Amino acid sequence: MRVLIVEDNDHLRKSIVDYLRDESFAVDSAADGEEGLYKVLNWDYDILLLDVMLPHRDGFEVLQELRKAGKTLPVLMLTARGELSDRVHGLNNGADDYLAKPFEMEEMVARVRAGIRRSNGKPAPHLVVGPITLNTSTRMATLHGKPVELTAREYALMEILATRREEAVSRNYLYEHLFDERDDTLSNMLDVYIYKLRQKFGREHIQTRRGFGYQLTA
Amino acid sequence: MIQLPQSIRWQIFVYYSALIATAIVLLGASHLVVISRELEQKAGLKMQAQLQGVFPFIFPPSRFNPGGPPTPPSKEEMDARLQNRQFREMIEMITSQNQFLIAVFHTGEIRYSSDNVPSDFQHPEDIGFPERLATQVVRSSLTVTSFSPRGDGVIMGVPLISVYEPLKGEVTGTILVGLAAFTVISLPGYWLIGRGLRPIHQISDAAKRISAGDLSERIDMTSQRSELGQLAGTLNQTFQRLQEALQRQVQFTADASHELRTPVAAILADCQFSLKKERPVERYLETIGVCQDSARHMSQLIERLGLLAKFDGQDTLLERESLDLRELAEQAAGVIEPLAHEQGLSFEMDLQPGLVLADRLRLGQAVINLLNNALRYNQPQGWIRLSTGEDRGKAFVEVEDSGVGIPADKIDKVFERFFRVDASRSKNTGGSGLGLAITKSIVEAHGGTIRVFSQHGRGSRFRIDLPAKN
Repeated sequence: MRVLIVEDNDHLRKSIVDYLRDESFAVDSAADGEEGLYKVLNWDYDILLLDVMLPHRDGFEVLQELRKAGKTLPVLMLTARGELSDRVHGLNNGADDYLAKPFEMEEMVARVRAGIRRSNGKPAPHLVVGPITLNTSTRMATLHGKPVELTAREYALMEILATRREEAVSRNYLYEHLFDERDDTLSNMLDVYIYKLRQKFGREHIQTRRGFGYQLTA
Repeated sequence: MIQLPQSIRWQIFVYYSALIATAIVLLGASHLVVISRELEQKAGLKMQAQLQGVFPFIFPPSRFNPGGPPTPPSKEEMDARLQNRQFREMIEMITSQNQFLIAVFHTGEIRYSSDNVPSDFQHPEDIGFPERLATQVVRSSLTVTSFSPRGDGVIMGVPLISVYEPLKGEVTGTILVGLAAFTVISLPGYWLIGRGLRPIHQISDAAKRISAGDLSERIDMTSQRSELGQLAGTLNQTFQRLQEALQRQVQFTADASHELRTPVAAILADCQFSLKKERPVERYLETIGVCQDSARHMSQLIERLGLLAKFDGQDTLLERESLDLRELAEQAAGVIEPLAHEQGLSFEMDLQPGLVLADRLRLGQAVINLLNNALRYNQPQGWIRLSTGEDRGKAFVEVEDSGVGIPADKIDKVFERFFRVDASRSKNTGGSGLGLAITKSIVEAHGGTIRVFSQHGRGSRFRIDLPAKN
């Protein structure tokens, strides 16, 4: 899952990026509204974390612009003003959720996950595909009720496939959502992960659809 | 002592009613006294007239011998006559030796003593009866007395109760009229007092609403010239000041919490990242660095906000002294000029005397703030100009720079707290967005004004005007 964080306080931005990467998200960041808007319009993110008070363009402006451009990704606003008027203002402008500074990092991560789940139309934390179950809050996978050991990247790939189950997910999409601007990936990295997942869950569940991409099936 | 109700309305009403009741009772009583005097007079006159008939009745002319003393009637004869008497009043006849001849009591008892008749007894009419009449109240009777020069006397009397008999109806009437008058006078009094006290209720209602939390509430003042209207005015002014003070507090709290939220969030975020699991030492050091930076930023904010809160709208904290703005500017220039030269800026001064009554330290801080901004937002090879002087009763300090200037749409906001012309700028220049707000509050505490003239891209000119000291 790929996240964009737009926050002008250098320390806070870096901490959030580190924390989310630790939770195996792919994370991009921007320090002002201009840069943030550019990135969100040009790459495909699963969720946007947006500060309100930003240089050049404030969070509300960025939000308005990206909705105007037809971007429907979930937006979690970070605000130093906890007041109701701000909340109403933001929600009217198409924000999905709010987090008032200062906040607990665990709560931030939980809201990021919930935001992504809701936007995929699967509000429950469990993703079930036949015998495979993924718990998105503990990031544990089971096959026929037995735990399956996964690395952070493997889990992230599995989660993307499970979220878009019964759908062919393109290699491009997987690259965009698995790796962030920091990663200098080799194109065959994805093949390695797919190979490993097939070993752990069985070939029949992860199918290659030539010309389209990969698909998780029951 | 009777416990009076606590309400002022009731207390005034009770005293007022007591006064009215007293007045009515006095009036009624005097009315009854006058009437009773009339009754007594009437009864007295009636008795005097009757007295005339008493003598012929008691001493009929037949009992008198011509030229000699009369022969008193015998007891039996007298008893018989008195039993049939025409008058109901009490009668006593006494001799000058204080011996009674006849005593007829109003109970009906009759005593008669023919033995007491003095030997030289003359017919009463011969010795001037019934002359020298006197009517008076003796004990519980109204009496008419008449004495001859010799000292023989006749006393006629009626019990006062029978004299006052007609008074009974009069008393009832007077009480009824008195009660009616009391009701008619005192009840409107209750209403009148309530009306007079209405402003007090308005004041207390407003005070109640204010104490319930709505500080924007004011007392409705319909009668501003009355004593209570003046009180209401004074209270309204007090409420106004309180509201302003509270607003400043609220503003301060909001500002402080708003500005402190981000650094706190940074500390919390980085600490939680570092503590989540074991990290390399470098990462821990980085976290400590984040904490230190954020703490410094917060401490600076707190200090500046404290300064602002202190000065907002009041000059009580100023330590005013007579000082020359030229001297003040020279001191400030001493701090800033070397820094300007370091940055390659030229520093010009045009200092004329300008006497003011001001706080040397605070006003100096205000001037340094302006110079700091001129330094911070200048352009390479630019200049700063500092001037002081006096102009039309005002002493002024002016700081002009060749800096980046302020866009026209943002010039109104430069004195607002936490406003930055370009928010990203603060990162490089270290501004908190409070400098100009502090400067403004210091100048205003001195009773002065601060204005800004600026053209975007060409520089700014800040001017402080203060009342000049003569």
